[in-house]
Amino acid sequence: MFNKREQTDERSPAPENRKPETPRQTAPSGRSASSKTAVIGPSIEIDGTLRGDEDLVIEGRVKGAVELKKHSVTIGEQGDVQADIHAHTIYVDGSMDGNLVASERVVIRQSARIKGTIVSPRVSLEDGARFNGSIDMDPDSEALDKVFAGGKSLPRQGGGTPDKPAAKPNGQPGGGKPAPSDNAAPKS
Amino acid sequence: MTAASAERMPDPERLELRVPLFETAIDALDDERRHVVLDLGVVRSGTVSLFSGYRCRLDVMALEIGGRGGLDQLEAEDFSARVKAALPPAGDEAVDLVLCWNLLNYLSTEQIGTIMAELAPRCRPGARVHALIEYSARSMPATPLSLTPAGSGELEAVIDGDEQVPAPRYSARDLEQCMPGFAHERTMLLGGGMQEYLFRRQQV
Repeated sequence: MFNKREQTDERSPAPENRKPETPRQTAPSGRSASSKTAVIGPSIEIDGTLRGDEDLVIEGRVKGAVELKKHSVTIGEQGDVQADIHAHTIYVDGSMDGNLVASERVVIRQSARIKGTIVSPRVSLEDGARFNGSIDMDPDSEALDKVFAGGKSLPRQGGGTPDKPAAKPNGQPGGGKPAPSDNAAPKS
Repeated sequence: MTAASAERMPDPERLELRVPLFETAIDALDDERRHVVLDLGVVRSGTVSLFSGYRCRLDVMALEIGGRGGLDQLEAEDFSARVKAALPPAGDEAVDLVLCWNLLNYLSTEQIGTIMAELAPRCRPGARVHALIEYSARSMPATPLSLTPAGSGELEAVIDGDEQVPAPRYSARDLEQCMPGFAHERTMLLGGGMQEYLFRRQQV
């Protein structure tokens, strides 16, 4: 069957129907318990590992690793990241070289420039974005499982067991239609 | 751009292409197995959207044609280096489907051979290569069509610009000869002078 997701899966709307999903600058995701968003400004350079318990917007330069597995990370238009990012949801407007692993969703905007690997059960990309690398959208991906400790960190609403990422529509393991993301359409 | 010049620019022409062999290739992914799909061209939203419905990894080479520094403008050595640099890491998985779209129309047989020589070792036996070739028409758009999956067995083609260049009109045999390790499987005549080809990776 061709283009089966349109017929059986409503997780990601067709491109023409897609509405802006990114918390463009500092809007919090709504998922964070603390409802806080940290911003790395355009003049800031960081080399190392970032960890925390709030959403993050990067407009500066970051090298190393970003570990915010329960929160969203936004690489703004001025952001220049050479790092591996592990997050709940990742939005990319800027420049990225590295591995993006998101348990929920990766949103690649038109202005994005990405070289590397994306691992997430849901990926949307706007035409005009430049991407060279791999996009792994298998919800049973080993890479996803490895980063998110067997998928146990992110229980879903009605989306199968906590140990399994959301199902694919073609009868694959996981079962059931995934729950909508809290971060899918944050209010700005 | 001024408002006046913007007004003079015609909107890109859009057309729908029925692509039955592409649909066949996609249908083959409809099993429990995990698959690897390699897109040689620039990735489009429709491609990501389509393959997100399958258990798969989508590799994107983003080879660009035309303009200064475009793939077709490079000398053999630079061409080979560009192709190697654009290949995403294979990991421990073999490629099941290669999407050439209309890229091969803008390359010489030597250049096609260079790409396929890089791809052959990454493809599992039986892997398919899908290509759209300007065959009946003597000319084709100088700027490659932008192609994106749209609906069941269809691609949306966006034609940007009126300039035309001669079409290479590669036959399946022409391509097979510059694709060692791949055999022609099927050909389908499409509208607008295009042909759709499927090739298969042979047993090693």
